[in-house]
Amino acid sequence: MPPMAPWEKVYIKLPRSGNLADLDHHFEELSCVDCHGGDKTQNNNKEKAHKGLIQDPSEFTTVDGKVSNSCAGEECHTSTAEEYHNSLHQQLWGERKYVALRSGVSSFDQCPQSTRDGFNGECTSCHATCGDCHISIPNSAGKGLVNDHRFQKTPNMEKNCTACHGSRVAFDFYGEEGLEERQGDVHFKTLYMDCFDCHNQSEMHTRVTDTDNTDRYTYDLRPSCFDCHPADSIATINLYHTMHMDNMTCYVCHSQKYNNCSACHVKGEWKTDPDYQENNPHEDFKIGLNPLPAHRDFSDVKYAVVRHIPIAPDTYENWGSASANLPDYNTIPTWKFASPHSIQRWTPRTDASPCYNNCHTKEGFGKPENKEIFLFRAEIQEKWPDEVQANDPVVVDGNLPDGWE
Amino acid sequence: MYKKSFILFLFLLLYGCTQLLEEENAGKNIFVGDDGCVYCHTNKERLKLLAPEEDTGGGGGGGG
Ligand code: HEC
Ligand code: HEC
Ligand code: HEC
Ligand code: HEC
Ligand code: HEC
Ligand code: HEC
Repeated sequence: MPPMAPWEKVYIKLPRSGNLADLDHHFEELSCVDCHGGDKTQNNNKEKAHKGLIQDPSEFTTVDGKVSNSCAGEECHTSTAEEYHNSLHQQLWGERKYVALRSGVSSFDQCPQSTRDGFNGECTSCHATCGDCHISIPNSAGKGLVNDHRFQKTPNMEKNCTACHGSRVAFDFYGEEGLEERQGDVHFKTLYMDCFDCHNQSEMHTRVTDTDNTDRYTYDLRPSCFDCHPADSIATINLYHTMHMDNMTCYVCHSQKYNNCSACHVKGEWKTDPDYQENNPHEDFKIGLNPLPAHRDFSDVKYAVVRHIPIAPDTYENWGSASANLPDYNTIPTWKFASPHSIQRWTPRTDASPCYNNCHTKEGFGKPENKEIFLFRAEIQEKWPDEVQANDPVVVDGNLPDGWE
Repeated sequence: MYKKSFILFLFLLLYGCTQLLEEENAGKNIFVGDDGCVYCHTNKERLKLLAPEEDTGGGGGGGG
């Protein structure tokens, strides 16, 4: 995304008719102050005009226990707003779920008060308002109108979706010019698909019902590779599939290197912690034991690619003493199931002769140096000693075929 | 041919003058219409004066 000058972010180019209503039908009946507050009679005084300004009208507000959103109103988007209010993108149920699990409780509401306050203060800035998908660049990515304040039915893939999903999906999906292992995703690069060919309106808008147990990989409206590549049509289409499709996720063979998380979490202290930074690979590729054996598409599949996330036992320390200790830290892997958006038919794993040469590690039946792409306990011990126990279920030690270790 | 070029020139001149006027008036308080929001937010030159560089929003994204 090219940076925008401050004036550009708030500039609305009048249509040739000079009438805003020709830009978007919302302006036929509503004027700026109806949604944004402020004082429109203060023509020549910015400060006074902006008094009481509502920067994000599509943010939910609670007044006297009543939730409202300026997109909802008589004859407006009331039902969408009601539905969306409880969605994953609005409430971040997935994040809440894992904060709760590491805190040793089964629901976010049972977390210590300081953790709930800390989360609501620092983590919820990543939630999406209606406008973040339909009108403007999300606040966390710098703000600014996407298309002259049109209310766009279809979000803008770059200025809305990957403005937030930037450090991972964007890198993987778009690829990087000149980098051999960063070809981008075949569905984008060759097939010109965008997010909405796979992620649709109901996935984005719908409320979550089982709020304590829903996250990105259990949410039932998410897409699946099998939606378009039905299992029975690809199961025996080539030798790789015949041998391994039941045994590993598609990504083990079809994804390229992907970004592992750094920064972001909790005021970005990670950004400045030298220990963490030194050991934090930005792009990497690791095969571990499937951390989600109950995954809808990959149940009982043994191997998956895993991604490191930045969470240490004391990550929430600055929220207060009750948050400092995460009693169940050691029970939840910090190498998580991953579905990198960097799919290609041929990847550095599969593009080999003989076919197993870049993957199998047994001398004479592969190469010992291929161990690099598997997640072993020793590597975690060396680089993230605090995280060894948490990742016991994920490391491949003792689980590879004979002669591979 | 000349006639057409001349008319074209006139249009350009006219457009140029409106731009100059807009620039000249950008900083002044001259608007007397009924919606001050629209007046400013659709006027590039005025916004350039009123939206200073440091007014930019946060940093580089997050999400998931
Ligand atoms: C129907 C309601 C509505 C009307 C009318 C409306 N806006 Fe907006 N405006 C929004 C919403 C919603 C957003 C997106 C911000 C959010 O809620 O996340 C937005 C965003 C903006 C932004 C970008 C904010 C940013 O930092 O990214 C500007 C500038 C803006 N509006 C100015 C105006 C002006 C000027 C008018 C009058 C011409 C106007 N709006 C009329 C609802 C409205
Ligand atoms: C304001 C930031 C923001 C914007 C804009 C945004 N997302 Fe998200 N998205 C998130 C966050 C944060 C999560 C994680 C929620 C959780 O796990 O609790 C998420 C989760 C997801 C998920 C996983 C859950 C699910 O719904 O299946 C998908 C897919 C997704 N986003 C796609 C998109 C697409 C497509 C767009 C553009 C239309 C988009 N996002 C726009 C922040 C954003
Ligand atoms: C995370 C991104 C995201 C958020 C947040 C979001 N939407 Fe959407 N919305 C979408 C997508 C994707 C579509 C489908 C676009 C398409 O099919 O072209 C859509 C479609 C729509 C449509 C068009 C529906 C139709 O049938 O024509 C409306 C209206 C709408 N959204 C309103 C809202 C409102 C109101 C909110 C907030 C309460 C909201 N959206 C929040 C992603 C989002
Ligand atoms: C070819 C189809 C396809 C396209 C195109 C696509 N996705 Fe996905 N996406 C998927 C599938 C499949 C999953 C995995 C769901 C699972 O494993 O259960 C997924 C998962 C996700 C997730 C949750 C997992 C994670 O990595 O955090 C996010 C967020 C996401 N997609 C965002 C996007 C965004 C943003 C775009 C557009 C830039 C996009 N996707 C384009 C198919 C697609
Ligand atoms: C919305 C439909 C859709 C989804 C979802 C989808 N694909 Fe595809 N994919 C296609 C289409 C269409 C093609 C091109 C025709 C073909 O090769 O089958 C394709 C092609 C491919 C190819 C071959 C690329 C080539 O170079 O020929 C691979 C590999 C692939 N997809 C893997 C995946 C994986 C893995 C997932 C899940 C993350 C996935 N697809 C999800 C539609 C989809
Ligand atoms: C063991 C590695 C491996 C696994 C696991 C794997 N694939 Fe493949 N797949 C390949 C290779 C290699 C090719 C290319 C073979 C060729 O063209 O000769 C391929 C080809 C494909 C194609 C193109 C088929 C065609 O000929 O048009 C699709 C689509 C595809 N895979 C989807 C998937 C999906 C979806 C999954 C997960 C359910 C998956 N693959 C799992 C290695 C794998």
